[in-house]
Amino acid sequence: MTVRLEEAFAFCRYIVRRLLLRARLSRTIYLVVLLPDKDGKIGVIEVHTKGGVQIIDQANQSTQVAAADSKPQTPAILLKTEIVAGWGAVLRNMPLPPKTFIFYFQWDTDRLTPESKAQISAIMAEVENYPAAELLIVGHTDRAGTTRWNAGLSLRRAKTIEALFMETGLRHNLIEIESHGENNPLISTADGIREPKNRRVEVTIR
Amino acid sequence: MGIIYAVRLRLGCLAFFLFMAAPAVAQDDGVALVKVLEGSAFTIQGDDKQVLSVGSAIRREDVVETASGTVGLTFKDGSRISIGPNSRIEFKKFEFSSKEGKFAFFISIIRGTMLYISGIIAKLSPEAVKIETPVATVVVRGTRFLAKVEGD
Repeated sequence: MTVRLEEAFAFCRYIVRRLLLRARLSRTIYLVVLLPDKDGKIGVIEVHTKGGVQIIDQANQSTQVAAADSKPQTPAILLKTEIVAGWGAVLRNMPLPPKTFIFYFQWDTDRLTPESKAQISAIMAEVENYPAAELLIVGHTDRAGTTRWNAGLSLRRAKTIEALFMETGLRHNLIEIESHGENNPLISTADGIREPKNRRVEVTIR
Repeated sequence: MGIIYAVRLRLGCLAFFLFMAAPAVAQDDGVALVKVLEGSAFTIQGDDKQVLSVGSAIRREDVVETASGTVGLTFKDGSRISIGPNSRIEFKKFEFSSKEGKFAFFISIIRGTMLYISGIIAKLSPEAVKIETPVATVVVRGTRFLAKVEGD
């Protein structure tokens, strides 16, 4: 009889210990929610723990993880109000998405086309919208001329655009320049072909 | 283990050499810039704690902490994150070199809230993006998501 009682006590102590352990482990809760992209597309995320994997692929779908060794919970859709209540600050303070603009050039020169020249001021104004704006300026050519010549030409084009932006007072160390020569055409052509759409500089503001 | 140590040692020597040769390029270590700031936020590297302002650079292996503030960062590849109040995020690895085909975006949320929006790294090399928490790891395929870690 006493042996049985001791056994029962031991069992109770074991259960209590397990519950305490579990409570301590579950103090870290991890919650992840998938949001649709701005263009409405919905990505996919996988949440991995030692206990398993949960795939999330629907708008506002979420999963929760209580402990490293438990499988992430069955996904549930969160309400808009729950999302705003939990993440209002981060949703409000997301930086602007980067934007890319293309300047086109006249054949075999670093002179802008009249159409692109006309857009300069609008694109410059866009920089003002970006706090601590950084620029990536990438020069390109078409495939007329030698590869080596085009490498130099694409760099001259990029520098022309850089000079324009420098006038707006952007710090030099926030501008990054690349020249891809004829290697990254927008429209692929055979070698030696003139293609106005490939004679360009792409500027990404972020 | 020995190999890792040797590589580390070599990287250490290389870093030292680069540092001696060209101290002016230290800012190239920046992986993201602060674009949005509400309240106050800090970077911590060892004992060095610095107050962030708009335009501050986040370096490789920085830790970002907020108290009541929120901070929004844009990375070199166009990835963006915003970090909510009472958060701690560790930047583990960032590689963005299309020429060498090297990509990595690896951060760890120790506590707090975050919004992540993928950039070029996730587009070119989805497997290079990893967002870790104390209990789980998120693998991302070009997307936008929220995360929250509550607890100690």
